[in-house]
Amino acid sequence: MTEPLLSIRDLVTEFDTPDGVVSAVNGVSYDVFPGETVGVVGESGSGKSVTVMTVLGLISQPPGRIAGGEILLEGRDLLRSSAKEMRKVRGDEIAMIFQDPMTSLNPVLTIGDQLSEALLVHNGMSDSEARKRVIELLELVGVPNAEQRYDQYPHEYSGGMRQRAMIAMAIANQPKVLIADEPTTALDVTIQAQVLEVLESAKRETDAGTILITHDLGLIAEMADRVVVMYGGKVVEMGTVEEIFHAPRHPYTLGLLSSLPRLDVDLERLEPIVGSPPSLINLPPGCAFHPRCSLARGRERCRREVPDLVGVGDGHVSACHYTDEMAEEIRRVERETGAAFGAGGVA
Amino acid sequence: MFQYALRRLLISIPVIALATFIIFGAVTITGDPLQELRQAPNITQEQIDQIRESRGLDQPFYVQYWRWVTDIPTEGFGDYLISPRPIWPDLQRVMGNTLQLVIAAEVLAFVVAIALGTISAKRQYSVFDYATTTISFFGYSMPSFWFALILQLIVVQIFFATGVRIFPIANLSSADPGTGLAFVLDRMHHLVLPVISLAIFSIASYSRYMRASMLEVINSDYVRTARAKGLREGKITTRHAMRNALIPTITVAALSFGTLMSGAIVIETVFGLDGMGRYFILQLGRRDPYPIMAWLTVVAVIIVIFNLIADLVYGYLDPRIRYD
Amino acid sequence: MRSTLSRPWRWLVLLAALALVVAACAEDEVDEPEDDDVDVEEPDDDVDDDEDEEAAEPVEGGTVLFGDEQEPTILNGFLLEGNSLVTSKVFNNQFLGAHRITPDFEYEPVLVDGIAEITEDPFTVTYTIKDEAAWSDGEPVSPEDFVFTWQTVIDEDNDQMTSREGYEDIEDYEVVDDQTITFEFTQPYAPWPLLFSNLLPEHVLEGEDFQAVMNDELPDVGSGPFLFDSWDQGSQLRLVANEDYWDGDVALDEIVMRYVPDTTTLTQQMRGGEIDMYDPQPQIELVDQLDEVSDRITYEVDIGPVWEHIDFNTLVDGLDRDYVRQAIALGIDREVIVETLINPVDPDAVVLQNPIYMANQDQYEEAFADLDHDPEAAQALLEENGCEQGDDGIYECDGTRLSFRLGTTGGNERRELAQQLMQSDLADVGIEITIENDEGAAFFDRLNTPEACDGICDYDIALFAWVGSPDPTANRNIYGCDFEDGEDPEPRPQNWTVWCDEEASALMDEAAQTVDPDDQAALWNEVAEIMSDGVPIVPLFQQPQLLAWDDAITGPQLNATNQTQFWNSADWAMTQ
Repeated sequence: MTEPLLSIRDLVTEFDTPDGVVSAVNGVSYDVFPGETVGVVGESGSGKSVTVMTVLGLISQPPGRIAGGEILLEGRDLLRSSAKEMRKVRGDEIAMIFQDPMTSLNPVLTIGDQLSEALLVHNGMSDSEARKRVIELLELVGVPNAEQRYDQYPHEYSGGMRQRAMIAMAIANQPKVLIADEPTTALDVTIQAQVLEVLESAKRETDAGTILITHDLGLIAEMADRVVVMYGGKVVEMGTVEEIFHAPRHPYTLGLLSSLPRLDVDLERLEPIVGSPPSLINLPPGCAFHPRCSLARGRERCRREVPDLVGVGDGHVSACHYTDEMAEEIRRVERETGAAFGAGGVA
Repeated sequence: MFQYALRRLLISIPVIALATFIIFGAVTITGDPLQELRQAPNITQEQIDQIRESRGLDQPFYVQYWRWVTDIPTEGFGDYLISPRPIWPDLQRVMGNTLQLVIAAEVLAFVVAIALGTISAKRQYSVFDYATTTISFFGYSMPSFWFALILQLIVVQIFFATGVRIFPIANLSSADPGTGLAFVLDRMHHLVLPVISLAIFSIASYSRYMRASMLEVINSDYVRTARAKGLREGKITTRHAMRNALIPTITVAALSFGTLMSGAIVIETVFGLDGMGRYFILQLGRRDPYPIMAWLTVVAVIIVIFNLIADLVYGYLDPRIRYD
Repeated sequence: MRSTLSRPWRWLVLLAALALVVAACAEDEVDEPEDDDVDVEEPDDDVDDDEDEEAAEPVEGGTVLFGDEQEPTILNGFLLEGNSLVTSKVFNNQFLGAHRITPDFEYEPVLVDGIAEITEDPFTVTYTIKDEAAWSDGEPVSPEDFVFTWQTVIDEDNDQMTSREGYEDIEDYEVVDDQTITFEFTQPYAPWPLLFSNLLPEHVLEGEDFQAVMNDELPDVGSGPFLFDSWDQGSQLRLVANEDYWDGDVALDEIVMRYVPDTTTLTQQMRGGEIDMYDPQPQIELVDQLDEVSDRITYEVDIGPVWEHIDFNTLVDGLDRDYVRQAIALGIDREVIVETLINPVDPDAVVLQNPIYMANQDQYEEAFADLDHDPEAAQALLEENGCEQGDDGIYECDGTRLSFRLGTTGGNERRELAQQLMQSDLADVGIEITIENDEGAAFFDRLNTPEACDGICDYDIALFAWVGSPDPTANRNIYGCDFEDGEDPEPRPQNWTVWCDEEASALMDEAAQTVDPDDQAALWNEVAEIMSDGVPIVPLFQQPQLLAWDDAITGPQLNATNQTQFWNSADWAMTQ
């Protein structure tokens, strides 16, 4: 088995606020292997973005604070690196694609300038070389008339093109790890497909390990190899995409899947997850999910004890006291909603 | 960009034209310019009539206006009413002096304010931030003449204590300033206190704007992207953050420049500087409408020019608005 | 995080304290004058050097920087726009005249050998020019210069001429010899010593456009100790010593006038040694500040020719009655006004009791002394004339309530204080005063003759000042009227009180033609007596004048007349 490219181990990131301490990332661990796409899924506030921001060292401390854990990039602990070393990593070994390309690009600089900047920071090349390379990259991601577009400003690009440019910027230095944080959320559905294609080819081009953060399960199904499900600052389930979609072992995962409308099956109704995401300042005692869990059924253990991540299959882990009851729960849901899990389930 | 500039320039012309019309109307309404002259003991009625005719004061309003306004490009602003001396050389002279004062004050204020605002924003809630905030409030609310007097007093006290006169407390130049470089240095030496007095208020005001817009920009997504690319903090501040944060600040600075021009009256009086403010007060006292109209027109043009410059700088800095 | 909330407050307090400390340090010096070294010169003393020093020796050379609040408009002292003390300060240095006025209001011969001689019938004036009197280019001062000056003044093309009075009475002249010229007048002109107070060089100005040639510069030829060099309008004007001065050696090299329109700044410049001399309007704090640096700066204070008074608009209902005006005069305590407002600056100042002659003139008589503060007499006078005090304490006389407006130029602290003192004094005698002020020019717009105002002018009682002259003839226009049989008397152009007394007007006209100084004085003092009964105005005090200079300079002497402080600039020198 190959070594993981990036390994996040027991990461704890907190924030000091006037109302109290926010435990945004509360002991999160997962790995990314070369060439694979890890999909990180969860609601807003689950800690999925803060985790990767911590990886890149983009958390300002104060008010943030990395209270524990390790982040190993090819064996090097990034949390023990100096600021200078981190700067070398950012944009070169680890690159990030942000959610909203309109606000993520500097409105007063040309696209070309911003892309060249990414190259010039990490490579000693001349401006004209950088320009050539950037035009190549723009062509690669499918921006038409790349030569003219180099000198245009973000507001002159369409939404889809901007995201392509951001992708180009991220892959410019052949990063080892590519992080995409909600890359298509801000785009039209019709554009989404195009951008995803670009993302795919970018992956192929660089053979990077990719972290794809999204709340869109369809995206996960399409692109991820493995899936990490996060809730309340913790990983609650992790496994291959088939395992997660066909045989979820955590009630939250099941809840996510059940609240999806489906094209392939005639659903009688959707079953949403009741309640709202927990306050990260005052997490519920015990299992953070228990107030909304259909499996807990008020059982004390859920209220008292924080469940550990335990293995439930080959590499498949889940953090639930009653994970063994999940198969039944799945069948219950299938009965009540008309959904169908199992092979050929999600479209 | 060129088209943008051209459009802005073309719009300025009707603005200036309208301004001249309002100026002429307002000053004319205030009364008969020959009233002062009538009180002179040796002026006969014929002479007064002659002046009326030669100045066109018996013509209807529109004719007078047209005559005055079309004379401006060819003959400057004409002569004073009572004595036949041209107005323009005086106006030119005082304008040059005030421009020196105001430009120096603006540049100083701008540079200091940007530094203060940027550092305050980067170190929000630090000691530095609170200190500059407090000093800004002082600077903003302090009457400029009081501050000017205090500066003068301090310099005189230092002179008493040490016998060294660190700055002159009045006049534009020494009695014998020399020529060339010596003259320039002497002038700069004399302008130190007035420039500081004038700049204090602007520093206070601009630094607040800069701080606010820097704060907004620092927390923006594109600064986050820049950081994610691995740029050094310094580069991020200057290339990404400041360039955006400057936009509102420069706009404010350019727009207030025009008012600084006419408003440096107090500073010019306290420091005995031969500038536009002093000139205006003097002419108001003499109640001669021609230099007053000339002054108002010049100030209007200057304000329009600086608004134009503000627009151009804004357009250069922010490509999004070039297509308005 | 909670602790940071108090931080801005702590810093605020600290900085406020700092600012106060700075202000206090700067202010301390001002508020505590050193008592041991107050060195106020007595007005009539000669300038003393400090007692503990040897008298310093004057040396050759040096530049005097003279700070002035106002700047000339044009340099030609003859024309309207140059008719100001400011222009005279420059003009009088270069163009001397037949006579000059000394600080004692006396005439001294300058270019002429002894005061000019006159004959009464016909009225002639004969000037005998000093042999050595010469222009700086070597040309001797000659009778042609006198003729040229006269012709320039009466030239009708020179419509900006300030005044042709006296000159237009000259009908003929005779050049007796190279040094002597006699002018014959159509009628006696009493202020004749004031004629030819600046002599123009014929050989330089002949053919020039007089109304343009001396606007922005003066020619490089003059008869005085200093000549014009350059004028940086708005900043400074430079005079250089006349090396060929006919009356001795001029010790200084240059005098540079430095123009700063703010008295406070000028005072700081004096204290800081940035300027060497100035003559500001003396205010109390100003004098204190100069006292502090008395080890380096000397100053002289004296009452000057500018005198303050209140004028009554005698056409206004109520003020049209003598007894009301007299009651007002009796009601105000002029002595307290002088004590409060003037004595702190000039301890020797007194109440002015004569509207024609100043207290420091020989001809001065206390004509208005019978109007000194006497509130009982005031009330008695009103009641004698049928006035009754109303419930509010204010008198009513034949249906007219005694309530009047008192106006002056707003923003002048001393005048406003004077108004308040008068208001309270008059309230005590049952006369109501409301204060109504205007900005400078706007205030003077109200004062005029009814013809110019198109009716009764819009003021009741006005507080302002006249600039006095050693010769009283100009007062004809201020207090006189033209009387024609069967018609209402016409007030003369500056008779804004519209007070017309036939006897007084006749005396004034007679005085204008009386050339014997003693007879003239007698006539004018009679006029003053009549005025103290008619009370068109009440004189208050003469404004003090101040001249301050660096101890390194010897020679300056305060001259509060129109001759200006430069009257003896030939005698100034630096000391080492």
